Amino acid sequence: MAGKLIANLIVMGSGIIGRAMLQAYRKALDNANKTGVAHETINNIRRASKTMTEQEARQILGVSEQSTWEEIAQRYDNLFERNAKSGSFYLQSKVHRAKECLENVYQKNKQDGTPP
Amino acid sequence: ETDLAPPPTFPFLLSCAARTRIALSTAALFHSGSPRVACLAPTVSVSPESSPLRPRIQLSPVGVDMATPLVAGLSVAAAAMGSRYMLQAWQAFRTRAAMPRVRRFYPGGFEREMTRREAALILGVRERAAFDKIKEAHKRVMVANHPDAGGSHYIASKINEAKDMLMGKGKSGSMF
Repeated sequence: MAGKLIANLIVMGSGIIGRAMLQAYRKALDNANKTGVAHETINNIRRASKTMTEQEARQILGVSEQSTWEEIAQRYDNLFERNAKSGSFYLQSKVHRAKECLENVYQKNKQDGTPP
Repeated sequence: ETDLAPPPTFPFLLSCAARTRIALSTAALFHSGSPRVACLAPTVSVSPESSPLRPRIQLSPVGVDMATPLVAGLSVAAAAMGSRYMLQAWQAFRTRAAMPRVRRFYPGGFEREMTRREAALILGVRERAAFDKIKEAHKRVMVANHPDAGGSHYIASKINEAKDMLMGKGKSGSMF
């Protein structure tokens, strides 16, 4: 009698726990969609093979097409240091990536022989 | 010592000498630096009874001195290989130490459409931070990237957009 009761309790408890876990999983998926984690993951996968565009890099550093490399380097140093002090690491990363992108562009121009 | 009963002749002596030299060379190659080289070297002697007029002839082992330069050469080679390995290890260590610093930055540019996660990263706060902390972080980051003080308008617009998104004033419908 007691063993039968305990077995019954175990079966019912397992069912309840299983359903609760399923609901929690679905809720987690909904939260991921709302907060953008899933979206960001998809974007990261799509962007894994792509780098920052030249236009966005110039916008981030606040320079134009006619700017020289010395000016770009100066603005990069300024922004990088200030974001390191009181900014955020994410913005610092974007500034660094922008400098890398423009560095590649200017090196390519120098090799081709056309002045930027 | 080996005593030879029959009387020795020149061809016999030559063959003995050649065999002794070969044996010593082989011993030196396989047992370089080993004291057994002396034991492995046979000594050929001629008994004086067979030929009293000819003097006693002894062949001294000629391969014993070959061990020292061989051991020295091997030691130099081992030292050189060790040095080369140490140099390669040091260079690899330096290269590896510098790499994580470069990889630590987030890759690529900003997202096409800002998400709450990116907004939190831009301001350096949690996604569910309090409004006071969001305002404080926005003020601090904006001071660092203000267009009037050398910042760029693009970054400033991103910072403002992040603040609006985190405080629920942006396009996203959900408050938290």
